[in-house]
Amino acid sequence: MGAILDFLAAHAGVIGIIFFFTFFCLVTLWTFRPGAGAVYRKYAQLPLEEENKE
Amino acid sequence: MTTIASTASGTASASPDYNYKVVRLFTLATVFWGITGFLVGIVIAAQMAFPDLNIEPYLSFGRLRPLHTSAVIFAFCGNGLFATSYYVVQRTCGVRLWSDALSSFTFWGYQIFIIIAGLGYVMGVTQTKEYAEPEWYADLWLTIVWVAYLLVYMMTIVKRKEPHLYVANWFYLAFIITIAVLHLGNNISLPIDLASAKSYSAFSGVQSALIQWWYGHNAVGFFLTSGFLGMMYYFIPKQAGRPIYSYRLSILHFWSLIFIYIWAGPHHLHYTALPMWVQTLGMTFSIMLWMPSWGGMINGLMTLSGAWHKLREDPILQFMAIALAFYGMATFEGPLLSIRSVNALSHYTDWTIGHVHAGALGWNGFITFGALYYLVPRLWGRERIYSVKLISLHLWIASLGIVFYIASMWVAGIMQGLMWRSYDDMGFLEYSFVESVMALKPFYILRVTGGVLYLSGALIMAYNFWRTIRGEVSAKEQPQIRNAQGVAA
Repeated sequence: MGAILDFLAAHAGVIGIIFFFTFFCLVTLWTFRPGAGAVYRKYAQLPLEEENKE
Repeated sequence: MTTIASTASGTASASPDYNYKVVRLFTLATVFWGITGFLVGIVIAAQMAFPDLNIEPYLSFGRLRPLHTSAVIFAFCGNGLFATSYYVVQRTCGVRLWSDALSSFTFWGYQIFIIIAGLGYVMGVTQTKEYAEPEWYADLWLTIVWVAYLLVYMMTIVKRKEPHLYVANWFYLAFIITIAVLHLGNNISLPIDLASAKSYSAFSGVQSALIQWWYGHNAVGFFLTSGFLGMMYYFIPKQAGRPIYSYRLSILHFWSLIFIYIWAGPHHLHYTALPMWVQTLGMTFSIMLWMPSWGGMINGLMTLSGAWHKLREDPILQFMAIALAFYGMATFEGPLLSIRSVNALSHYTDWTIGHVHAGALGWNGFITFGALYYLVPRLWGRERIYSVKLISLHLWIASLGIVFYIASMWVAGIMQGLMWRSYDDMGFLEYSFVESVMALKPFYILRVTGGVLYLSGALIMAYNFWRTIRGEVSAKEQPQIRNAQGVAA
């Protein structure tokens, strides 16, 4: 346990940047997944459609 | 379709479920504190040009300056964020704001915080951290109010009827959560006595400086950027009557902005005792911020594509488009100033002051004015705003004010920086400090002029709102608008 913590502390910067960069890449890939275009076009309409719902 | 001045009539009455009462209160507070903050800004700008205006001790520059910054950032922008976030979260989630009592508490609690903080500044009570001047007791009170805000916002989202959470809410939520973390982190301090206003920070030396600017820069990043992008992502599509240009881009904009912004703070501490690698880290991340900032600006502006004709005739949309232009300009200038060698010239000069005002007056001010012009008729259930011509007048007076302000500060700041670093043949400084101060006087007077114009615009807006809320429509505009509506419909 102590050895793992020491390793994490010593490499916190690199681990952090790998974590955040990987997360961002995954979000990007997810955003451009096949068939997502129609979903996002629907989401974008959300503020415009709510007026008609009343 | 929504035309320039008219709103979807009866919006307020058709949706009785929404809590507009608290939004109305925050809207009025935004206008009130805006005018107060701009006025104090003019006073301190005049004090720089005419030092005799310093009335010791209560109304000296040192005490009024935090009063100005807090009034515009936390009181004007803060109330604007409360008002718009409470409006947007209800509309996009399709439910009434959670807990009337708690949301009402956030209003009164926040105003009490502003008054406690402001009175403290004038009395000389300060913990001397920029944008975090309030002492420990005010900080504790704000923590309670902010937790209530988070609770109201989160619970409204939890109870939403709309399955998808619209992207504007992501930006608002990032603002609320991050400001809580920053506020708690930067204000860890120990009062010297429970009966005393004075406290000492838990941090000292360079650590204290780093934590302060981690806070300070992210106050810009999350209070003045993330929150206002939430405003942008809702009100621009609404006013333009078009969906956001790219929803995908808004998602990438969100994640890249919040990941990168949090590291940019050290650029405030170039050439200090802060380790060089930390300075370089802050600078690198500041430059990386160009990408999400411009992505967001382009996303906002391109929302108008296919509807450019609306920009020609709608002053509310003009406010929003100019706000985005200033957002783009200020987020270009910011990374530039963060480069260590540029910072060597600009730091401690009025260039920085000009830069923050391009952001504050242009971006935060204009997007808020745009949102307020959109909101007021809807919140009070009025058909339209009292006068569109007055919106236009506000727009141009305020724009001219910003030009006066930032142009004078660019010249003043660069001149100041160059005077400080010029040496003669013998290696002596060419100018004494007071010579650089005297050289700045004309520019300081120009800045006061800019401030007076900006305040005049805000007073015109307040008058326009007052007449709108009373249900009046300018006699000159009635027939014209009917024609315009006929064409638009």
